[in-house]
Amino acid sequence: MINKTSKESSIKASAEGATKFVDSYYEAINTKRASLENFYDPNASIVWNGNPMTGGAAFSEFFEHMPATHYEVQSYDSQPMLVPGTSGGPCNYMVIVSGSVKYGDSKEQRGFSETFVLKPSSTDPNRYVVATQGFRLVV
Amino acid sequence: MNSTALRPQGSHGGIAKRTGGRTRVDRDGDLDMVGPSGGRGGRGRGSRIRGSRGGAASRGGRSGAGSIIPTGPAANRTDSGQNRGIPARGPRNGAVSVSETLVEVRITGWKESKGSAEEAIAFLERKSRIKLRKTLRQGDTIIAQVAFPKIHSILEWNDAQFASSKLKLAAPSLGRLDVTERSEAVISRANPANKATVDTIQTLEGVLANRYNPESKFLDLSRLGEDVLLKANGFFQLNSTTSKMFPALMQVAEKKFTTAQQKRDTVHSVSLGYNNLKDVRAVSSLSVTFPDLKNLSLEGNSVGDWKALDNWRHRFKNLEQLVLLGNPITSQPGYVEEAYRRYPKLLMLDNVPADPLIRAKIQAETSANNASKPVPTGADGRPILPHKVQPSFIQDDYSVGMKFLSRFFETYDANRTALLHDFYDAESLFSLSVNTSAPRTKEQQNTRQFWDEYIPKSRNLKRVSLRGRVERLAMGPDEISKLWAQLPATKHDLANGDAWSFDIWPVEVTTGVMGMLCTVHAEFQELNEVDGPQKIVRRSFDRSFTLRPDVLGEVKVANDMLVVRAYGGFDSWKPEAPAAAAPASGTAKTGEAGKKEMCERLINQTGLKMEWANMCLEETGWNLENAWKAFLEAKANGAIPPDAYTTTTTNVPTIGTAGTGDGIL
Repeated sequence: MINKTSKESSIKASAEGATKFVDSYYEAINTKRASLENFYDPNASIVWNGNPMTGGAAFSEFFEHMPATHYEVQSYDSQPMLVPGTSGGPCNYMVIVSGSVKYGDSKEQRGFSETFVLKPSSTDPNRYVVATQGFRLVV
Repeated sequence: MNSTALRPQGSHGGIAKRTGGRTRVDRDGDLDMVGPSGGRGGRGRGSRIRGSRGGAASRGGRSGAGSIIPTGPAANRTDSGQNRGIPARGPRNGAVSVSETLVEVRITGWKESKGSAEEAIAFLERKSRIKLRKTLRQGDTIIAQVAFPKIHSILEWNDAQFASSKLKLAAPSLGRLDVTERSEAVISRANPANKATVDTIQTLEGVLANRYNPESKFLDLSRLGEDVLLKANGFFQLNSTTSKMFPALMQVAEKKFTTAQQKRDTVHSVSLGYNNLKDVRAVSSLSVTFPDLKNLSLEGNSVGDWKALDNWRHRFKNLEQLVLLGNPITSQPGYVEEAYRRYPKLLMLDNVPADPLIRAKIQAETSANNASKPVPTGADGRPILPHKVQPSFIQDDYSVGMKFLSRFFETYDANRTALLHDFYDAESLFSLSVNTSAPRTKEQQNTRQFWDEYIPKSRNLKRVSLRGRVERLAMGPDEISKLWAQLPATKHDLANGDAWSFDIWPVEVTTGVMGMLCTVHAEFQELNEVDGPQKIVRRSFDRSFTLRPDVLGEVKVANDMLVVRAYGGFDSWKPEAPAAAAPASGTAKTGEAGKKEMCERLINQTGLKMEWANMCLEETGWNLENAWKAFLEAKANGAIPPDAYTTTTTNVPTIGTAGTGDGIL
């Protein structure tokens, strides 16, 4: 059983971690694509509009072929991923993002929904990287 | 061009007055540094630091501004008689030099001393080696005049010990700028001579005022290295060069012209001539402060090529005149063409009017570019993205996710409690976030959306405080039940499969524990009890679940995250026709190559082994879409054995502790 104090601290940590991630990730995807790979675990599993990809390098390569994007995050939420019977070490976070995205010269705002699972990086446990990502255009 | 026709130097008004524009120049022709609403009350006459000018100077091409450089190459150059478009430093045709401008200094504190007013003046003159002129006693105050460039030096003697007292010196007429902390920081970096920031601002303010000609709306920032004021104030000591001083100068300018309109109205032309610039990095802030500049001179610098001007690459789009004479760049091949390419409104380059042939060529080039450059768009007019929208991606060997989702949405409308009992344990988490600004269908665009029932529960982290973050996250069946009970009753339409999108694939919940991630996008109707025409509200939602085993190995929800937003329809996840689309008839694609291609696509989508994919396609008459549907159906019914999948897929641990391999279903 996870007690209330550790619940609160993991909730707080996941909210802070998500905020940091969302701020920097969407800035990178809009303006600094070259840095995208740094956000990923090398084995990240990604599903983009039903297309599976593995690893940040693959995603970054895929995004090089993408027209210019302008994402706008309109809401996001995060939760710690709790598993009964596991120790209280740092847990993974789940993040759900809802927003709009414009592609290329188009003025049209598409709606998108994106879900991430963030986990502590294997090289730097203080840094969270994308382990799983699911993206869909929803409007 | 009619508003800012450039005339040869020496004729009336280097740059002709803009007649219709709103100006910010007071009766003396001084730039109003504060703006219409700013308090000018505290500022004495001395603030017009250019001093009085004769009528001749006012009519002349150049007023006193800039005449602080009396001799030297600048003056020679303009005297050489070439008709320059943008005026450079003019001859001293009777204008009063700023070095001759007097600023009032008020000296107090001597009355408390043992000395007299005369002795105090003599003391200050001796110590500072600065002549105090037109001294006048007014009660306890000595009023004296000091040449403007010396003003900061004399003020350093504020608080000086004089005959058992302290002398107080002030120059109230210099005014005091209300500067932001940011500009102070920039300025203090810019001026390592360890002067008080206020002094620095005053200096820069003085520099700007000296170099601004209100009639021609011309800011002359040429030869900054020779600027007496800047030099006198230590700006170019300790290698503090243009790179540090210029941004500070622009910061001060920003404070003076607060609106874009003000900037457009007051400054049409800027010269950065003769500043030894190799590129424009140090002065790039000019394009931020004066983005709508019409005339710009970089004459006599060391700009070698267009790359050196890249900091201004997409700036100054309204530029009508550019002067780069005296820079190596002018001998670069294609120099003229590139200038017209970069500045589409350019009318004159290096004082030569635009060659119509070159302009026509550039225009043709630009329109050709505009025609081909945009991102290619598809039949729907939308930019084509590198991957097409695909049907649901499902990698869910034991149908854990599929079974959960069917059960969840079949039950959710009628019996949320039953779901809590079956799928939620003490560590299960649920939260809701509302995206009130989400894009929506056209029909929804003008309808008012009501979110009252969701907002108090919304955990949109963009908006919710720390307390709400904890309170609005429900943990365990009790809290979740309470939260769900407060949400409007819903009706999910399971019959319309097109309205649903779901992707399911494995996820590591925590180190060593694998689970399933299910992302769902669909819609529901809100069954409101409210009266009126808007009885049934349609909403779109996104809902992501992670499923994990509990201690007994049962499937439980680890995370349940719901996003509610305005109705956005379901066209966006409709699979796009694959590149290797079946013929229009939708029937079999002939040829072995076509079959092979379809087979590969199905393997990609399903993770099936070649033989199974082949079989699936064979049974559905080699129609990829039908094969996909058949696959989903068979899968949902548990009709596809695990060994039908490729090795990579079967290797993915399903729910259950990773490594043990004992799936729970």
